[in-house]
Amino acid sequence: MTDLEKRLAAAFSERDQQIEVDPEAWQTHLQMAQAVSRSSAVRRWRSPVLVAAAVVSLGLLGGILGQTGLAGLGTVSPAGPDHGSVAPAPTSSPADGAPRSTSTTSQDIPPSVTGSVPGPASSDPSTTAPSADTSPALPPSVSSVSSASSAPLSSEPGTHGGKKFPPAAELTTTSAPPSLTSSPGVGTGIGNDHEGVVRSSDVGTWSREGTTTTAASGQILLTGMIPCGEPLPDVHSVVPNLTVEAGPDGYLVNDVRQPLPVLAVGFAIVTADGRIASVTSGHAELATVTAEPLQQGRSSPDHQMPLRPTAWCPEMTGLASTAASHGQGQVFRTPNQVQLPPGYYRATTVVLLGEDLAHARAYRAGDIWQLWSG
Amino acid sequence: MTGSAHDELCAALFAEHFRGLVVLADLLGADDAENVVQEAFLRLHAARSRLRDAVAAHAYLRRIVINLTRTRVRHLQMARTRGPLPDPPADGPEDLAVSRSDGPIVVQALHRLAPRYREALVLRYWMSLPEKEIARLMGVSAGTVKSHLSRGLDALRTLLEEHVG
Repeated sequence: MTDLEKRLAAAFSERDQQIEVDPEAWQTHLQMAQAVSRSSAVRRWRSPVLVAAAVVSLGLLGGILGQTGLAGLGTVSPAGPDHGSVAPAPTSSPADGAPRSTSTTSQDIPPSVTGSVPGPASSDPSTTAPSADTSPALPPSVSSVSSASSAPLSSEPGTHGGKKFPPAAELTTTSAPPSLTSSPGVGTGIGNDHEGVVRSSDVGTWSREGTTTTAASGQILLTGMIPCGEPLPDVHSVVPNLTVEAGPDGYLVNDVRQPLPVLAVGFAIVTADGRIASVTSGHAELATVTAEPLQQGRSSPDHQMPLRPTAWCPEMTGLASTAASHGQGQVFRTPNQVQLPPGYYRATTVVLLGEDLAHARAYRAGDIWQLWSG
Repeated sequence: MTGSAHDELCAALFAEHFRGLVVLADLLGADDAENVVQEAFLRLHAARSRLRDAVAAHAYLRRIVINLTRTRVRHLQMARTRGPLPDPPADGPEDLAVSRSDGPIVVQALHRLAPRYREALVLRYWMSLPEKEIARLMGVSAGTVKSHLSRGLDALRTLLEEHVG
């Protein structure tokens, strides 16, 4: 070894001794690495989560769209927990004469979404694997949402707090049995087992279009609206005979025509017994979306359901410490670097209903989806 | 490798190699060596499904550190071309009195070498890696490593002579 090589080696050794590293630093770094890694893992199933959320939301809002009679179909398809799967008699016919499906059930939810399966809330995750052949089969009238926009609309307006529904939005009620059927095996321990998503027997399908176009221009946090750990009732059990969602304000109206403005649709991770563990935000502006996108039923790929990381229940740990998010490069975040343990989680769409945010209540809308984070 | 096994492996790697990798990044010219190594561990954690064993993981970490340091040094070079960086704090009289070795001068000269020469010298004379391993880490042939070592030493000698002169 030459003199220069010795000097070089000595210099390296000297530099090595000069560098100080906190002996405990590696533990901090390790925790951060694991937290970020788990966030990445969560990110991998974020898409299924979003798909699940979108599907459920589409089902809800699509059903709402159908119930509004946008195509001049005055028919309502109430969704009630105690009803069978009898399709209501339509009060009008679709303008295009498209055939109607009258027995769409929550089984139409595509459970084969990667990484997310709808399943019983209390079931063993290993037994709730999705079945590929249960993907939704849309009836021929799928496009009726968009085609419905040109159909005549009922002119019977509803009111809400002195505010008139737009004439174009028909508010109808019905005593007909709901067209929702129960979702086999799906149960949250609350409400009932009928976890079918609101659907419209008029439209006859899940509306894959027309709901997520109502992307909120501003969002609110559901945090605080839905106390962590509180049971999440089924929207159908609270709004029996859900009949009409009409017009620009996105109201849900029950059979007594009590309008319940949809203040937001969000996504929540729930516990096995159906309580909210962690909440994300959703559409805060559903109450102010314009009628046009609703009626036309357009779907814009860049207007997917936004989910932002919001809630975090400080009194809960683990499961409760995460929040779903989407968009803007956001990922599942755990405040204070609390890690999301690998495992199965349940999530569902929540709908915030109420006269105003101060008096809003949240309800579950649709199935509870099982998600895996690993 | 299961998740828990990987976590244990990461913990062991952290405990055993974190500091050494920080020194490696520092000697290679990274101004934020700890961040570089932290990023390397993050990538290791993300790639846990592809890891075979601890040896492979360590080699993987070393490779990441080298690559990340290259990127960082390149960034610093670009930053310097756009404007002078603030001068490092000058050593006080006490520091100069205590520092009787020329280690800092050598390291300073090392950092003025071309990155490929610096990498070869650090890997060879600090990590004592064989030329074959250096070649694998640098993604070059063994002959190129020999060339880098030789030319790097020549360049370093020149810089040190200039400093003395």
